[in-house]
Amino acid sequence: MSDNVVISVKNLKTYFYTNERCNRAINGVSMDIKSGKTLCIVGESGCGKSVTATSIMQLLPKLSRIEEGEIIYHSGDERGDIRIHELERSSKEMRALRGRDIAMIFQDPMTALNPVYTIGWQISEMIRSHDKSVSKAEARERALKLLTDMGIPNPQKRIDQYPHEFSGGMRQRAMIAMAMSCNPKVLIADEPTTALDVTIQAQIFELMDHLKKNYNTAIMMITHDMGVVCELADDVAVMYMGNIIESGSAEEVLDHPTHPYTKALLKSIPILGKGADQDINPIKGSTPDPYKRPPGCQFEPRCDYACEECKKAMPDEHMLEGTHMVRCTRYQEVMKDGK
Amino acid sequence: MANKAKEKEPLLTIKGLKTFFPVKSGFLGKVQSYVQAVNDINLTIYKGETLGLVGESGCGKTTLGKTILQLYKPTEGEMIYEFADGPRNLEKLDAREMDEARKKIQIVFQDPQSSLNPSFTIYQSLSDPLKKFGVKTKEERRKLIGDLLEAVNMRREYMDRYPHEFSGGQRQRIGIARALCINPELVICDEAVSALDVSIQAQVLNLLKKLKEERNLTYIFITHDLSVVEYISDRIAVMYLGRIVELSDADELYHHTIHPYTQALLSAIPVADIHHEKNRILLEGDVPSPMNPPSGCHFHGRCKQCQEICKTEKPELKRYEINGREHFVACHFAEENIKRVCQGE
Amino acid sequence: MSSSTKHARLNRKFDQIRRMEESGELQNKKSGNRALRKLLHNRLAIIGGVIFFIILFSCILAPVLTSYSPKAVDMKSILKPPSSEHLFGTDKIGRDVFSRVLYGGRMSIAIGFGSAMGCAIIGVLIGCYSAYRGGWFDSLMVRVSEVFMSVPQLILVLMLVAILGQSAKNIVIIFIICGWGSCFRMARSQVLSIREEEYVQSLKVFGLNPFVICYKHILPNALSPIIVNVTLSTAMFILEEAALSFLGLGVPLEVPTWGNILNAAQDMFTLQNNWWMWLPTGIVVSLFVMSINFMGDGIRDTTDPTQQG
Repeated sequence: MSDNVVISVKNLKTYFYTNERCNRAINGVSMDIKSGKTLCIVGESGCGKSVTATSIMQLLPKLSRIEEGEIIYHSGDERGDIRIHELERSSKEMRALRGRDIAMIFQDPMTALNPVYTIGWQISEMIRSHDKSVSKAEARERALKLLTDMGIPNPQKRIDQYPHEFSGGMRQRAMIAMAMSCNPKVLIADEPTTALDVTIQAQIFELMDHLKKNYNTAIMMITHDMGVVCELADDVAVMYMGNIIESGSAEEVLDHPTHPYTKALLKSIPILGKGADQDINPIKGSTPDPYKRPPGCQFEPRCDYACEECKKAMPDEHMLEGTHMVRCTRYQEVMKDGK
Repeated sequence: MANKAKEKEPLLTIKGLKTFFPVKSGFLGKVQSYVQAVNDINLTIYKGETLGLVGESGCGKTTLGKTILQLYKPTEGEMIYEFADGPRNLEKLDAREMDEARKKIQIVFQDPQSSLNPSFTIYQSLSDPLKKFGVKTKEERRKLIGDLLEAVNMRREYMDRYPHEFSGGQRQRIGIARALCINPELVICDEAVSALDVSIQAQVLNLLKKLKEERNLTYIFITHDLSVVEYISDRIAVMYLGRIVELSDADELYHHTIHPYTQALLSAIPVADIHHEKNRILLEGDVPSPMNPPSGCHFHGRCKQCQEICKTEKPELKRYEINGREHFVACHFAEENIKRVCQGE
Repeated sequence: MSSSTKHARLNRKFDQIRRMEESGELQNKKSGNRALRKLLHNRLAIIGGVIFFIILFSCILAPVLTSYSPKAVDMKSILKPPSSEHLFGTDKIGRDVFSRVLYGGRMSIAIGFGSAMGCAIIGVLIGCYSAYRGGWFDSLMVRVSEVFMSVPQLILVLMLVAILGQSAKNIVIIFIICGWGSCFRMARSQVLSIREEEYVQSLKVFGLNPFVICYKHILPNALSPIIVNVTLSTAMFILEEAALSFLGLGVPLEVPTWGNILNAAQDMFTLQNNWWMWLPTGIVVSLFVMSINFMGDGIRDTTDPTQQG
């Protein structure tokens, strides 16, 4: 499994300008998405994780823009390195990238597929719009093969059915089939299983494992569920209020959580099998108003380790062992407490 | 915490409950088939316990909760509630007795966005129910609502604010305050924490536990999240397509999982522990529709242990004893599974 | 405007907002009423509003603006073109057209608005309860409303005029009879979706009286599209009254309304030679109706949650 970085994001800042106010949705985020590995972005609602995905795909709404930072896609072919942040949102280059190189799947399979076209038609259209030389018959063959590969039973019948004839899990598979139809290097999944039942969710996870192994796809998975992170992630980035406050490989972050937020988050979740007497500690306070942010570290008002330093500025990135990064001024005490 | 209702006084006994919704079609609205949402439920809820009701979508758990509350009319069966002056079937109550019942059974809803009227302040929203149940003067109502808000860790002044000024977790707490405003005995929590952020879930769960102790409540906790239900429940009932397939004490369910569906369900849940060993039992296919449930055992199409008998005969929910504790399972192969699971430890 | 200049403009606006935010200027600014702010930014709605209020207040303040009575016959100055004495000239029997337009406006606007309100009140009262109750009652009311909506208005007008005689009151009654159906439909569809909200279910669990739930708790949330509908219906009814009166079937000719004034212009001679008798009235009616439509659109845009702003 190669460790090539396919997308590198450096110091990305995306601001929203709705209601005549400036909302710093993402405020300096850096990450690497590697082929054949799954990067999980985890955080609660409002932390900016979905905005990261839409920024990379240049699908931001009209009243927002990428202020600073770089998003570089290493295409690995004659196009070289493509600087996504410099492309126009609806430009030809960007549209060529979407679907062919970077694909995205969304949370709600009910509304993500067009209800008036058959699944086969939608997948074929995806294939043919990126490669004009493919004939209709060929596209249909490929669509059939994709549906089989994604584990949809009875694909010859299913390919001519409409989305409302599919169940939730199968619609999600169909969406993944559509996303994989042009063999993209990167798959961005925005909470793909939140709306699905647990047993169906397990099936989708198996499918994603299969994609990683057989197609070497780089997967960026956005979720709020720590359980999903533990199951699927190779690398983890924990976000809070627009910053990645801890990142690294899954073992590094989940076994040795060093940021107070990560620690508190892990402690506040009931773990299956530990019974009714386990201690779950809610994090005190609540997420601040995005227009009235704390001056320094965003987590400081709710942090047990807060000190005067923390109020001055957002802490810098500190590198711990390996790829483990944490943004906390008092990380050493946190580490000591963890032992 | 182990308030396992040792006295075992039944509060609500459900016998043979069925809730079917007719599917009408054709010009004259002829009834074509039924959505068999709740399909023969036998369940006893004891005073002071928290009964967790888990299952995936379409299993009927929410319909069961709403049938108990009389929001849906049951097609068959009885729901016998222990009032102060004796047990009575909830369905056969007249108007005055219905009001008595309404005082005893309440609900906390799931969606903090739609659980409060956006055009009314909190005080206005809660006034009408209080007026109906005898809190006559404005001062009394304001005092009561203020006390309730403080009981859910919010400030009294919040009663004059509108719902959109509150966060999801706060709205959920207001929903809990509303459920408690006429001092019920039984509270049905219908996915009460599912729509909340993880760190807020913990706050609300701990609040629910605290209120239960303070006010001697009984909970029916409906959810699809097994990690949450394990934390808060005394007993857990697992539902599949309108039927209960397994019912036991909470820790028993995790240590001795008997029904094949429960085994698959538990193995499918992503556990928030990096060292947890993954061994998923993958189920084939999707959950069948409650409109055309499979014959015999509803699970037979997806079960690895399926035999001929499963396709024709419906397994009844039978009582077994494992290590001296009650464990109900609806499976033709329950005994073999019990032996296997107990030997495995 | 090309997309790159629009782009540059947007960028400059963003830069300005960002500067203000970072210097802390925007911190204390109350978020204000977003709906009002959006409305004020909608140029057409503002123009519509201005024209609407000019015409409305002119009609209300008619006695101040003109000394002539709309019914005063002056056989000495028939068919005079516009002059400083008669701003819009005079008609066939010497009545001042300008004062007829102003007083006529009162009647037309009153009829239009009265009909719209009447439709709204009946439609909302019935629609709300019908949607809440559901079942056979709802099906029945929907069929009833369809019957009313399918009656051709002109035939009904002719019948009622023949039976009851012409009067402003009868016209309003006829408009309400023909028009309550659409408001009923709108209110019903709103309540059908609100009915499933959890706060309504919670009220049911408390066993509150269905009328209280329906009219006190649900109705306030269903009102915004209905308000828009009332504004737009007013415009529609003014036009319909004008059409009926033009045909002579509406308000009796002695009472001035905009339609009645136009009634005089039914022949080619008047159309070609006495333009002041129909053109100013026509323009006033058109402007008024257009302005109402602009305002109604503006209000509808502000209450539309899907639009960004």
